[in-house]
Amino acid sequence: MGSRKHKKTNQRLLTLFLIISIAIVSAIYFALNRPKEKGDTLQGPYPPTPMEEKNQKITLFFADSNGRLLVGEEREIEGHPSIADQVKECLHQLIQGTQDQDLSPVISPRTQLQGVFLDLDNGIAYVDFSAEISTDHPAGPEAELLTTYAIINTLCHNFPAIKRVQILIAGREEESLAGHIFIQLPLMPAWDLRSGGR
Amino acid sequence: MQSLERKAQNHGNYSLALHFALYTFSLLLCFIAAFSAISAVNARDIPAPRKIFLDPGHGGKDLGVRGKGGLTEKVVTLEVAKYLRDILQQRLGIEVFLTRSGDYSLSLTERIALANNRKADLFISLHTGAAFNPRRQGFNMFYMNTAVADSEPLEQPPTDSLPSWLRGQEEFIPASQRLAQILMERLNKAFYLPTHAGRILGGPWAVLIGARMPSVLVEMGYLTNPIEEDKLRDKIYRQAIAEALSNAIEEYYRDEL
Repeated sequence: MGSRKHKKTNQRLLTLFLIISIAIVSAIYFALNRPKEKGDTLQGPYPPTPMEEKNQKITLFFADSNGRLLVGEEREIEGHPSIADQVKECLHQLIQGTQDQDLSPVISPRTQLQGVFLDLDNGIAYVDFSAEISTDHPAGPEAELLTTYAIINTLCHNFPAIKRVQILIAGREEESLAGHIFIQLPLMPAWDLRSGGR
Repeated sequence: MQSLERKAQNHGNYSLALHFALYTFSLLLCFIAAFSAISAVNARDIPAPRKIFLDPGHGGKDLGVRGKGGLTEKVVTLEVAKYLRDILQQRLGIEVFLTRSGDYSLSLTERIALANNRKADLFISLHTGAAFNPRRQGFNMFYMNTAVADSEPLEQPPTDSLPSWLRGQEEFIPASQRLAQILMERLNKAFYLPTHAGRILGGPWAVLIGARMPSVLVEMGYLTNPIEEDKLRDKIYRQAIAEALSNAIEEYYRDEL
């Protein structure tokens, strides 16, 4: 009688041990395969976050030699696992400036990209720059137009899921970047500013 | 007999005085009629209401563009606005208001709110340019257009997300484009530039976005170009710009007839 009782207890302990083991293994498995969280990134349940790590071709827009229109400059960048990281890399490249002597940069190189927030359910990218994008800007209406749309056109051209872009300055929605263009709401790209049009 | 002669003489004097009075009265009537006719012609030339808001860009801590020689946009825009105000008031009898008459700053929405509250029938924001290329020169005109993209249509147009008070400019976009065209032509003509020099561009201009009247942002040359900075420093050059803008405004009003 005593031995049967002891055997039953052992079976229960074994079952408990197995359950706990399965739970621990599962927890470890899910922890290892959990999607990486980006502190400054909001992403909808969307399209396939590209997981490719290989290099990627992008087009950046800079001012043409007359300072009238935007011209695309192709560049190859290091691949990134998430669309938010790709957007960041793209904007970092835009801030670094053009490699073409005939083109002009449209953002001061002192500018820092402070964050990227993606709301791809609504096709909107929020991009937050440090105050230098504004304080270092030459300030004319036409120059401001080119800076604003160099950012918007670059993102919308390279990331089809992005339909509109809102520029934030030092974490805030400002009235304008340099006193002329309304940036308190997300803006669509202006393809007609590209040299040669669409 | 003598009394008859005196009576006749008196009658003659009365008659002469009467004729003189009638002649003077007729002359007066002619003057009044002529004056009325001239006034009527003028009123037709520049139809009512004639209330313009001029907006000298920037101000106070906001210098706007600063040229290499130290000339600032806020100074140029205020000077030209004052010249233009004087010309419009004196020559055309138009009521003119400035969004700022001194060196202080105003937000962009405050500027438009002032014009909307006064129910102005034109709004002209004066600016100077800056370019990434220091050789860039000339004039540009900008009008409001939120639908700047020609990409595939969105389910929700960009302007739908604008609060209603910010959508005030939409119905005036064709008139604003026409005004921009006339301003451009007059400036090019005044400074002997080719007819099609300069740009007329639509965009989401913050200072025009809620204006309930035809509105244009005028870029009066580039302070980043040292040659244009020198010109803009010259009082006569600024007055010439104001003169050309005044002619354009007069032409715009005549076209409205």
